[in-house]
Amino acid sequence: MACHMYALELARPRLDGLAEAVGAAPLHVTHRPKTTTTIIEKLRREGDMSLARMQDLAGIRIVGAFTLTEQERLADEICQRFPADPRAPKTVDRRADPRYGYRAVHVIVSLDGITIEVQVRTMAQHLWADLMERLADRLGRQIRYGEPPAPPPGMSQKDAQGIVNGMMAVSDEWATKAPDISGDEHPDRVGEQVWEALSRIFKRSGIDL
Amino acid sequence: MRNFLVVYNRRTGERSLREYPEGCGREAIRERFAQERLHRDDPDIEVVVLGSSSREELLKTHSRYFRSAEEILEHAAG
Repeated sequence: MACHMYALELARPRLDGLAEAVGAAPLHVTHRPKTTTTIIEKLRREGDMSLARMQDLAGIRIVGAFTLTEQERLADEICQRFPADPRAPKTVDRRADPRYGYRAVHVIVSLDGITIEVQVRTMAQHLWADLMERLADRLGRQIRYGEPPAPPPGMSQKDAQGIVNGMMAVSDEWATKAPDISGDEHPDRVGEQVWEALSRIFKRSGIDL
Repeated sequence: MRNFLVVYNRRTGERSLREYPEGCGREAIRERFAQERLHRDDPDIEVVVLGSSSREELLKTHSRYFRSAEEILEHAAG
């Protein structure tokens, strides 16, 4: 784990001036070595997974008010800043290929032999992902992988599933039908329609999530 | 770059936050392992070390550790 921390600390200066390089608004950046509990969860969930093949043991998250086009430019710029060491960088576009509603662009880079996953998220993508994580804290981590929720006391199974379904519907609607309603084309703030749809989902729950 | 140790209860949303100055990443990781050992029988406890320039940045990128869903939405509305 110390070597992942070391790689992350080495990697961070390479991201300096990233926003300026692609003409995007200032970025918010944080890094973390993956937690032990989430490593164990992943190994249990994915039977053929191994520590050696796990690409997100070291992770960097970049969030900002940028457009979808700027998001692609950011990913390209990150690739250029991490030449093969030893593996060449790889971009995973989860906007085109979402995982259980999660949308973002990930860039898998390597530095001194350590693999680092760089998550690049627009404000709307991040809001959705953050809310889903929070929901998963209350309804069970398995909802992030399409499994049924385990509702807390005071909430029915049907209501909990309704909230999860609502999250999936919002993700599908904004990404496949009208990306501009998310705010991703004009990202000063998260699009009103998406924000209202997400707010309705959480108000409907009737308990503090 | 500072490091922040977060000990977070997924069910209740309670958390503790400890800040480590630049250059103390190893110390933060050591304390993370100690906290993991302390809470190893509680599956709801998540222990994480985050590297960031400030607490404010953490609130932007990892608000789930610090805010309820309602508060996350409230802040997103600007």
